[in-house]
Amino acid sequence: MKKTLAFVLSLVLLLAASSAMAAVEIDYWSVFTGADGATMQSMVDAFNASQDEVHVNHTPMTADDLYQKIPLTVQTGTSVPDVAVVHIERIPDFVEKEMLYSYDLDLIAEAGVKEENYNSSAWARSDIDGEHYGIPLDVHSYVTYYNKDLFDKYDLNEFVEDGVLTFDEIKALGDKARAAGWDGEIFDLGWMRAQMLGYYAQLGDATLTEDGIHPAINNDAMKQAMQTMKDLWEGGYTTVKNTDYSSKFYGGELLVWSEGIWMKAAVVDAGINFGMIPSVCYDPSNIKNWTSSHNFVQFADENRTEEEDLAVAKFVNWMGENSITWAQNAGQCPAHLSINDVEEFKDMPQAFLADPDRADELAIYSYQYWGLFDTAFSRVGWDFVDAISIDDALVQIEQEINDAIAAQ
Amino acid sequence: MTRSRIAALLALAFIVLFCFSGVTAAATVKETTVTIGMSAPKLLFSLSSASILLIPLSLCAMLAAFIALIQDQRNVGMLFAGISFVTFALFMLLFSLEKANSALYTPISAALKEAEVSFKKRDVSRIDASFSPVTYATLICAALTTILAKPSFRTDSARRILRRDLLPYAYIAPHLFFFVIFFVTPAIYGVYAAFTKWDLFSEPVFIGLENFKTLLFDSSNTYYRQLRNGLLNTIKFVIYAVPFCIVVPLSLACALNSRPRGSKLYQALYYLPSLMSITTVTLTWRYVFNPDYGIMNKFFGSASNWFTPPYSWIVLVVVTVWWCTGSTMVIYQSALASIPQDQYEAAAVDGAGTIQKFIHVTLPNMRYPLMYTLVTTVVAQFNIYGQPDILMGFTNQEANAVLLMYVYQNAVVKQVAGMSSAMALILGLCIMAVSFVQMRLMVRNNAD
Repeated sequence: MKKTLAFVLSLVLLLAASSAMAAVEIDYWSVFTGADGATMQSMVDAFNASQDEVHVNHTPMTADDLYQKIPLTVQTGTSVPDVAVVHIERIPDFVEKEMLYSYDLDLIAEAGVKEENYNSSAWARSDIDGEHYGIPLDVHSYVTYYNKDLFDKYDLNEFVEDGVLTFDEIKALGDKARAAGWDGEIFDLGWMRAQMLGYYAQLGDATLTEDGIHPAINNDAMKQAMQTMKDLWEGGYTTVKNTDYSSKFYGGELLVWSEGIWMKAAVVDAGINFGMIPSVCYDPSNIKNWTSSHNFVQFADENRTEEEDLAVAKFVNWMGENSITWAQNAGQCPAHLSINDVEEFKDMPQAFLADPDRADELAIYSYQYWGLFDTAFSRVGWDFVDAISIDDALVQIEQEINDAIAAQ
Repeated sequence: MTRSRIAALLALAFIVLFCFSGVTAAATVKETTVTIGMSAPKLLFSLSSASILLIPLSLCAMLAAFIALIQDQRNVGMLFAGISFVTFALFMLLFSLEKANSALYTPISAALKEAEVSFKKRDVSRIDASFSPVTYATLICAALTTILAKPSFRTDSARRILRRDLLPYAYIAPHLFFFVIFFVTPAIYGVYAAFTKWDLFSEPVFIGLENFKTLLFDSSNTYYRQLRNGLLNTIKFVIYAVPFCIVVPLSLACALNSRPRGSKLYQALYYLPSLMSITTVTLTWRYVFNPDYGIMNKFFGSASNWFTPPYSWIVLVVVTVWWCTGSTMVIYQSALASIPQDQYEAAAVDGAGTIQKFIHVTLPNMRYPLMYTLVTTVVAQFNIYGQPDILMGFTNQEANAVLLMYVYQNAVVKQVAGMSSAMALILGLCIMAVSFVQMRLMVRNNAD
C-alpha cells in the first residue's frame, strides 16, 4: 500500500513538475527563404536552445505566399501564427482590415521590448492611431554595389572616392570604361520599384498618396526619376530589359549594380571583390536609399493567451539582442540599437546605414494600398524606357490602383 | 399518398425551412451587449467560416434525396437525406463551437459602431451564437426525411435490394465527396462572387451585373482592358498551340506504331514530360531559352530574347507541346493498334502508298479519338496559366498575359475577388461555347 501511494505521489509530483516546465509553444511565420531562411532558422534554433520556457516553431515561406495565406488564415481563425514577420509597408492595410492586434506596450516591456531600444524611424512607422503594431527586426535598403577589380582595371576609382556615385558619374565612368575597351554592362535596370523609389525620394517628399487613399505619383519628381533611367537606356549605359543582372554582376560582366544589402552574402559567395555605397544620386548632399523593414507583428486570433503574448515578446526581444547573426549572414542592418555598438558590426559594409547621423537617408514608404501599388508599378516595369511614354506609364499605374480600390 | 412522397415533401420542407432559419449572436464589449440576427442564406454567402462550407453539401444532398424520393427510390433517398442530416448537424456543432465566428464579426462590429462603443477587434473575443428554433426544425426535418425514407429491412430480399441500390454510391463516394467539396461548392461560390464586390476579407456585397457591365462596356477601366487583352492572348495561344498538340503526338504515335527498335524506350521517353509538374517543366525550359546563358542561344548562335514577342509565342508552344504530347500520344497509339490490318492489306492490294494509306485508312479510323483529343486539348489550352506566368509574367506590356493570370492576380494578390470571378465566369462561358460547337461537329461527323 505504502509503495503504491509513494508511486502515485511521485507520479503526481513528476506530472506537476513537467507541466510547470512545459515550454509555451509559439508558431512563427516568416518571409525568409533561401539563405535568409536558413539564417533565420539557425537563430530560432539558437533561441530554443538558449532557454526552456518558450519553444518557437518556425514556418518560412516566400513573402508572396505569406501575404496570400494570411487573410485566409486570419479570417477562418485556424492556424493563425502567434507572431509573424511582415514588411513594414503592409502594416497600414492590415490595421485597416482589423487583421492585426496592437502590442500591449506594458506587457512587452516586461520581456525587455522597449521603444528606446529600436531604430526610431522603423519603430515610428507602425504607430497608427495611438496603437503600436510592429517591432522591427531590421532595416534593409537598396544600395549600390560596384566591382572593385573592374574599377581598378579601368581606373575608375576617382568616381567613388567620395563614397557615392551620381548619375553624371555613372555616365562618365561608363564612357571612360568603354574607351578603355570595356564591352560588358555599365549599370542595371534592376528591381524597378526599389530602384525608382530611391530616386523619387531624392526629388520629392517620398509620398505615394496625398489623401491617404488614392495614388499620387503622376508628378514631376516621378517623371524626372523615370526620365533619368530612360536617358541612361538611350545613352547605352543600361542595355538589357528583363534580365538577371545578379548573374552579370557575379560573373564580372557588370560594373555598377543596384541591389539590396541582403544580397551581400551571395556577392561574397560569388567571389566578387565589391564595394557597397548608397543608392546612386543626383546630388551627393541629398542621398536617399529606398528602405523597408521586417517587422514582428501579431495577427488577430482570439484564442491567443496573454502567456503566449509574453512568450512572443521574449522571443522578439532575444531576436533583437542577438541580431548580429542577422547582420552577419543575411547582410541586414539590425533595428535593435545595441547592435550598433558591436565592433564586428561596425566593420560590415552595410554599417553606414545604421549611422544615426545618416538616418534621414533611409526612405521608408507608407501607404495603405502598398500591395496594389507594388503590383501595378511592377507590371509597367521598365517599359517606359523603350516601349511606352513616361506619361502613359504613370497614367496606367495610377488607373490600375484606382480601379482596384473601387472594385474591392 | 405513399411514404416516399411524404418524405419527398419533407425534403422540400427542409430546403424551404432552411431559407427561414438563422442565428442570433450576442457580444459584450465594455459592458454594452449588442445582439444581431443573421439569416442562414446570408450566412451561406458570407464566405467567411470553414464550417459554413458544410451547408451547400447538406443542401445538395437533400436535393439529391428529393430527386430520388419522387422517383420512389427510398434506399437512395434515405442515403442522401442521411448525409444531409449529418452534414447539417455537423455544421451546427462546429459553428457553435467557434468562440468568435468571423462570419458574425462583421455585423457585430457594425452594431457596436452603431451603439457608439469604441472597441478593438481584440475586445470582441467572444461572440455567443445561438440558432433560431426554425434552424432546429430544419435539422429535425432532415432527420424525419431520413426516417420516413427508410424502407423495411426485415426480409432478405429487401436487404439485397438495399445493397444493390447503395453499392454503386459506395464506389463513387470517395470521388463524389471531393468533387462536391473542392469543385461544386467553390464553383457555386465562384458564380455568386462574380455578382459581388468583395475583397476576400470582408463580407461580399451583392452588386448585380455591375462587374459584367464594367468588364464588357466600360472601355476606360483597367479590367475592361485586362479582359480583352487576356482573352485575346488566350485565344491566340489556343490557335498557335492546338494544331501542334495534335500533329506532334499523332506523328510520334504513327512512328512508334511501326515498331522501330527500342520503341518501348522512346514511348517511355515521350511520355515522361507529362508526369512532371508544370513548374518543373517551365523552369527547365526557362534555362534552355535564357537569352544570356541558355543553350539555345549559346549553341545555335542566336541572339534573340526568347521571352519577348514574337519569339515568346514559339517558346510557349514548344513548352506546351513537350509537356502535353505524352498523354495524347498514348490515346493515338491505342487507336492505331486497333485498326484492322486487313484494311491496310486491302489498300496495298489496290496499290495505295504509305501516304494514301494514312489518309484513307488511318485517319478515318481515328476520327473519334482525334475529335475527342481536339475537344480536350482546346479546353486544356484555354486554361493556359503556368507557362506564361512563370516565363514572361506581365512583362513587355502584357504581351503574353493570358486571362487566367489576370484572374489569379486580381483575386489573390490584389484581392479584387468579385471582378476576378466575373472574369473567370466569362472565360468559362467562352470555353463552354467552344466545346459546344465542337461537340455538335463531332456528333454530326459520327452521324455521317
